[in-house]
Amino acid sequence: MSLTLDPATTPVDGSAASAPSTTRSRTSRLVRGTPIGVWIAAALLAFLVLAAVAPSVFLRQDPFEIDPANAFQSPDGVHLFGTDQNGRDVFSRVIAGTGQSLLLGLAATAIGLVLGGALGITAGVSGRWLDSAICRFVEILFAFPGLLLALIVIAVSGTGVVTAAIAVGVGSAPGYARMLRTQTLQVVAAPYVETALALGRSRSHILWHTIVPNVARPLFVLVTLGIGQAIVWASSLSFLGLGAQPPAAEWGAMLADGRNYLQVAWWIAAFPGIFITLAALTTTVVGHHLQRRLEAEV
Amino acid sequence: MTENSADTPEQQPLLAIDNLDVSFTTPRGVVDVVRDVSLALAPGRALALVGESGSGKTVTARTLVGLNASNARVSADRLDVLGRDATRLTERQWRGLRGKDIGYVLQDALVSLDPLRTVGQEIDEALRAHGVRGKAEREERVHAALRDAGIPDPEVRARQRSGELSGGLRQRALIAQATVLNPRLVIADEPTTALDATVQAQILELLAGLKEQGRGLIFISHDLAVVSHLADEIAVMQHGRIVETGRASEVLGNPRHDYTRQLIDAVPSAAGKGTRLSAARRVVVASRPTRRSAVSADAPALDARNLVKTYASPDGTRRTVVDDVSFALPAGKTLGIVGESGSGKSTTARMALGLTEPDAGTVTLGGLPWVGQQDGAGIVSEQVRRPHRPDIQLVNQDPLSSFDPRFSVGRVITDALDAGSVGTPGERKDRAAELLGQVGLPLELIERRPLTLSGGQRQRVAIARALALQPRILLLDEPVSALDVSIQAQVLDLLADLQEQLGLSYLFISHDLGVIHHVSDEVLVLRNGRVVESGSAKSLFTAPAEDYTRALLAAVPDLPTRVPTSRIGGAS
Amino acid sequence: MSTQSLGSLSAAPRTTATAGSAGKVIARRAAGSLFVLWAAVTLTFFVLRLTPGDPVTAILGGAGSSPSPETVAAVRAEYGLDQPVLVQYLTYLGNLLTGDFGVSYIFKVPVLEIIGPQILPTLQLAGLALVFAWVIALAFTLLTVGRGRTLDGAGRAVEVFFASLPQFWVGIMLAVVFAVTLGWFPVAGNDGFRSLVLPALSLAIPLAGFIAQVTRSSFEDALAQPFILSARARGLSDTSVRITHALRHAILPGLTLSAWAVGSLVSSAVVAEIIFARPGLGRSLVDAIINRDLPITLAVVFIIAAVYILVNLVVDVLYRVVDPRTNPKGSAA
Repeated sequence: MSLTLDPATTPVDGSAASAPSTTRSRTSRLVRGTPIGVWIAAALLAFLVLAAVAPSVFLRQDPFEIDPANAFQSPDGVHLFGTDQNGRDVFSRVIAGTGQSLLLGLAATAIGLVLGGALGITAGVSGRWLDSAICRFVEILFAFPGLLLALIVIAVSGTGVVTAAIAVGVGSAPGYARMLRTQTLQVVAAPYVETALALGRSRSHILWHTIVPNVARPLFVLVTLGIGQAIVWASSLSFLGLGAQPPAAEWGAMLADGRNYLQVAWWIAAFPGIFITLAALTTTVVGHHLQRRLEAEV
Repeated sequence: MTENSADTPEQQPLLAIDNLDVSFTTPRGVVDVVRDVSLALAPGRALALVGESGSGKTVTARTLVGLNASNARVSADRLDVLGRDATRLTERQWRGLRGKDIGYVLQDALVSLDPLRTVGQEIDEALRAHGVRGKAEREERVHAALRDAGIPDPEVRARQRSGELSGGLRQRALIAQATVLNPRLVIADEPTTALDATVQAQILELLAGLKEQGRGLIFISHDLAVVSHLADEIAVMQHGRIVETGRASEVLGNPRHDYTRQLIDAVPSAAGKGTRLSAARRVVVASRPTRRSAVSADAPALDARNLVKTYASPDGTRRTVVDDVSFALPAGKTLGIVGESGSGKSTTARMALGLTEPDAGTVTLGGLPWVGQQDGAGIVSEQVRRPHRPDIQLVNQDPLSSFDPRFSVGRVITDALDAGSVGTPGERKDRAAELLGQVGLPLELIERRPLTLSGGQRQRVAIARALALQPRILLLDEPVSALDVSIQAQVLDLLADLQEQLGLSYLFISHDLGVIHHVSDEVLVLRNGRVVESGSAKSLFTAPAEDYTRALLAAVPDLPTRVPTSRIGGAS
Repeated sequence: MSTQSLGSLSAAPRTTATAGSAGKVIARRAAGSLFVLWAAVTLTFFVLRLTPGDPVTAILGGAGSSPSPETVAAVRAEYGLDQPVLVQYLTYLGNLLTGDFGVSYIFKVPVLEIIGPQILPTLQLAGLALVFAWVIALAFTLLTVGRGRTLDGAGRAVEVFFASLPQFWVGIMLAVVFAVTLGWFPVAGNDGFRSLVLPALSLAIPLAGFIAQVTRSSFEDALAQPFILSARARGLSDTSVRITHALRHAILPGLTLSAWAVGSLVSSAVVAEIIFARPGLGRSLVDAIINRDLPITLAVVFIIAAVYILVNLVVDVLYRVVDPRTNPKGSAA
């Protein structure tokens, strides 16, 4: 059955309190308390980051070199992921695309967080009038669900990688706005804010030294969680021909390319897709773990 | 009623338990929670399991209905529940017992009844689970159960959800769903803990009624006073073991074990006023206050006149939460404000602290304008208040939420010193260490996160922070309500020591009359936002003038008077 | 923090039941919905209309053509583009009220003729995808939550995995395996239920991951509540406690998420529509964006926003059915 009762967490009061947590025991607890899945995800994420920062470590062929004689080679020792219709090495192209995909995800998340944060935090600390005005505005933005807001941004500013990052960022902004507003409201209502007031702190001091830092506390987690989804969104745009354009080695664009040769060479589409999934999966797993740790601290 | 098979009740005990052990397998290893517990219960008797949090009383109770977590390991030399060997019961057999032969009542019906379902549906479910088929019959029994639990208009109440009922009715409904099938054994786990004193008294009466009907009652509480009125036998638990067991009058009147004595002494009551409640060492304040304050020491520390506060209800009308409340807190004394939930005591406190602006009325702080419209000077603004903020500090019920979650214990205190621009960073560190010593905390805690501290330690940190700016007044809003009774005793003793040595004035808010009686010089009784009665603690508690105060006092379960054997002295 | 576990997705609008009689509440909500719809259309109109680039270029066949000034003027007048933007807006709004979405810049026929036939296939696709997603999510929740560490962990892992899958990749892989290799379903087209299954699944699988994560955590929360213990102490079995008590609490946040999901499905249907060569709104939208066909873009945006708002309204009513608690009268002071 499912009723969990963990007697070890039941507070035992009195002078004989819980064991002192020295730095060492804290570190060892961190190691022991982290599930194996998180370790695997973190290792894979580290691999992706390395591939993004220093692709040459893994590159064995020029990702852009066309070699028609070697087209449609199935995966083997030489071409780990096979070759595409132009004889380019799929593995090299996937590795070469890592940087752009991760950067796209990071940029889009940053844009989304900055826009959403500006709206959400302002709404959270403002008076009733401005708060409800911002809420209404965000509510209107929510009427453009999913890819729609991103598509509108592209309709305005045309296709391309930079536009795709902005589009995905804008598309995720309403979600962040709502989330950060809730977060801000919680912090504003927290007794420690009141305590700061009772200690004689000024309102501006409380805003900048208590409210904002506490709202920003989970930001790192939000970024980690956000990147994965942003990568999926951005690659969707590229897949639709609205983001990165061929022959760019971007995962979504490569997938769109490979789609035409599914029956002869499944690997051209399969491997970029696996990497998109991998990026989203690892960031989500690591992000969730960070979030749980943060929650345990609050 | 008649299907009860125990025709020879005296010969067949409901419970016979020898050396019960319960342990839990956790990622950090096996944790023993209950050790060597032996219990017996006959029909028509009430057994109270008493202990503080973590003593294993709830786990013991859940073992009796087979509802421990899946990682629990139960073993016993004998574990007979209603004449059956509980160690051999299958889940299906347990289900046959639960609800039908054993009723289980939890604390706080707001969360112990499904908030999405009506009270009637919840009771009906018990009947259904035990094969009562006829719809009409079930409905009738639902109404009967509600009526037996003392709920008027059962037909109406059965269609309401727990959220729509008052605390008392809710708890009665919870008892009704556990007793609808006339179980021979009723287990009640802290059934009155979240309730106001008057409601608590009614629920205790209802439970006593169950006992008189011949049922066996297991009653779990952290509160000795509550237990004393209901229990025939008491088992005192500590760290998973029963340290003392016996007839209630014996255990309470002539405790043999140190821990029991300590628990009894810790209960603040009329008899113990002026005595120390705990064996904790007295704290000694080394340095005297050095801060110069503009606040006059001769004027009342706080003087509130005709405070009024209304709030808009969702339906547009205005609800008066505080209605014409006046009080004066003499310098160096304690004013206790007592009232049940919704009486307006917390709003009053917030206005006194200048955190909530009153609709009308004024507060002066040691003679200085503090809150509200002052003669010819307009409403006192926060700018005017801020320089005097150090003079009045706050300690509330939940200290953890009052600490910035980013801060360590040391940082909590140095931040407060920084707010008052006290000293250099280095001096602040020294002073923080000194303050920790003042509240009886070891210096090692300074690096720790408040989250890793126990409840009592957290409250001491909150007190240390409140003292950091050398205030004249502490506003204590339910400061011990979340603490176990022995920890409560230590914190109350600490507060008494500090008051004595630092000459502090306390505005002490509590729902607990025993605590208020123990700490207060003056008392203010609030009800529905109005002052019912006020006066010196002595006169108010010995000769209450108002019916409400009398009712409140009568509702407080009191320990049978026992002559305090030791530890007399203390704050005088 | 606990509700934020889904990144930007989790901030899907919360339907909060408002106080008051049911009829009044629905009327108030409907008025609010109309306002949001109007605002969404207005916002889109001005954003798209005020971007650089002359619509006439699009009408006259893209940047490559070099029409005479007379032709340009004539087209301008024909499409009402010589009027001030505000007048154009008011005209557009007026026409919208009569169900007239204008004339496509590219196809030169009324917009409704182009996208009218596309609406139903997309709604069918989105609807089926939502049903699939819920079935998968509920199956996961009921079968794995609180069933021991192994099952619990496995369920959790699969959910995160599903939620991380890009729809288009799922679509392609499903097509390769079940259509191309196994031949169980058609590779493409719009020919009855069988042709809907794979496209719907490709949208449903990632969504199921999200819904399952939300229902799992609320299911776990619900199972830890004292009222579950009360119910078990009444003699209920584990299964009936799960179904009669915990499930109802668990689906509430998923329900709210669904309102957002339907709107999102309609707009991301494009991916499945392209992979499986199905007609649909999404394709029309992407084509219109690439070709700068303003009237079609606006019309599709309008329809998606309207669907989203309508579904939100329905979910709001549903929410009240599942959670009949009205605002508790006078919370304790």
